[in-house]
Amino acid sequence: MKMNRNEIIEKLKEILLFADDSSNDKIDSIGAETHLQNDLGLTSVNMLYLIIATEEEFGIRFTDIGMNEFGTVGDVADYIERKLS
Amino acid sequence: MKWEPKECQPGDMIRIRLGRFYHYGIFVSENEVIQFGLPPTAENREKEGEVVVLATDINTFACSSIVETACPDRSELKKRFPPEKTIALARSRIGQGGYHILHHNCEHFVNECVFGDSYCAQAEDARQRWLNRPICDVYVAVIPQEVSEDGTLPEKRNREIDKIADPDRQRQERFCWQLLSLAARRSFHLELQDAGLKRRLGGKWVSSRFHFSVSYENGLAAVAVSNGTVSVAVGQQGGDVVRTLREPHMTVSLSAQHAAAVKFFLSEPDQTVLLGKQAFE
Repeated sequence: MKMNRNEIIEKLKEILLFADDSSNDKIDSIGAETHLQNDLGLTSVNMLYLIIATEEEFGIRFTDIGMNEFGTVGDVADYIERKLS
Repeated sequence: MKWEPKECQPGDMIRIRLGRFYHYGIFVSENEVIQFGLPPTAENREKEGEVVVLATDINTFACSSIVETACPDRSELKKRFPPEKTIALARSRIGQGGYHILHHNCEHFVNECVFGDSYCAQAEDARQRWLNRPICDVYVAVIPQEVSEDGTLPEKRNREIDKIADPDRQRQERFCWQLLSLAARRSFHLELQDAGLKRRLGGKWVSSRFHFSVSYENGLAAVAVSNGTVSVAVGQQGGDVVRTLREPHMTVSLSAQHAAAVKFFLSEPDQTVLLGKQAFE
C-alpha cells in the first residue's frame, strides 16, 4: 500500500499505543518532532515492540539500523519512507 | 523450552533475566561463558565499541542474577548438537560482530550453536502479540453531499445500492460502504473484494475475514471493524462504549467483544486521523 508521510505517522501512533500503553494520554500531541525517549519515555522493551510491530505493519525489515539510532517519531517515519520507496 | 536454576554442564544454554529481557550464553566452564555481547546492564550499555561474541566468567555473565539452564525436552534433545560441537561452534565465533537486537542477538547466537537454527523466542513472542492483538477500530466521517462510485465495492453490493430508490439513502449507503472499504484496507490490509463478503439470508452482509458494523444518521457515518464481534450505532446511547465527538458533533455507541481495544479514527477526504482524548467531550 502506498502511504504518504502523514499516513505513516498516523500508523506509527497506533503502533506506539501497542508498544506503550501509557502513550494513550499523549496521542493528541504526538507528531514527527516527538522524541521517543525524552517525550514518550520509551524503554528498550517498548522500542523492541515498536520496531517489531512496524516491521509487520509496513512489511519492511530493520536490518541495517540499530534501535538507538531513532530519536524522534519523524526519524522512524523517514526510515520507513526510505524502505518503502 | 523449560528453564531451571540448576547446575550447568558444558555446552548448555544458560540465561539471566534483566528486566523484561533475557541475556543468553553458552556455558563451557565457570571461567568461560560464550555470549553475543555483554549482558545489557546500564553499566555495560555505556561501554563503547562494536558488540561482538566474547567469553567471560560466569560471574560477569550473571550480573548477580539467577542463572537458569535450558532443559530441552525429548524432541529438542534429538535436534541439539553434541556439547563438544556446540562449544566448538561458539568458540569459533568469538570476535564476530553483526549484532542486531531484533535479527541477530544473543538468543539467535545460542540457538545457532546448540540447534543450528537462528531463532529468537523473545522477538517472536512480541511479533505474535502484535499479529494477534485485539482490533476494534471505529471510523467516523461526515457524509459528503455528493458521493460517486469509486470502484472499491463488490459488484453485488454496488447493484443493491444502485436499486435504492431514495437518492439520499442511496448516497449515505454508498458512502458508508466506501468508508468500510477504507477501514478494511487500513485496519486489516484487505481490499473489500478480498474480504470474503457475502449476504446472509435476511439481508445482513458479513465478511469471513473480520467483523464489521455500519451505521449512519443525519449525515454522519460510523463503521466499526474488529477481529471480535462488534456493533456500532450513530446517535444512540448504550452499549459497551459511548463517545461523543466534539467535531463533528456526534455520539457513537459500540457493543464489542474487544471494547477495551477500541480506537476512533476521523476520516476526512485527504487524511484519516487517530483520535485522542481531546477529540471527545
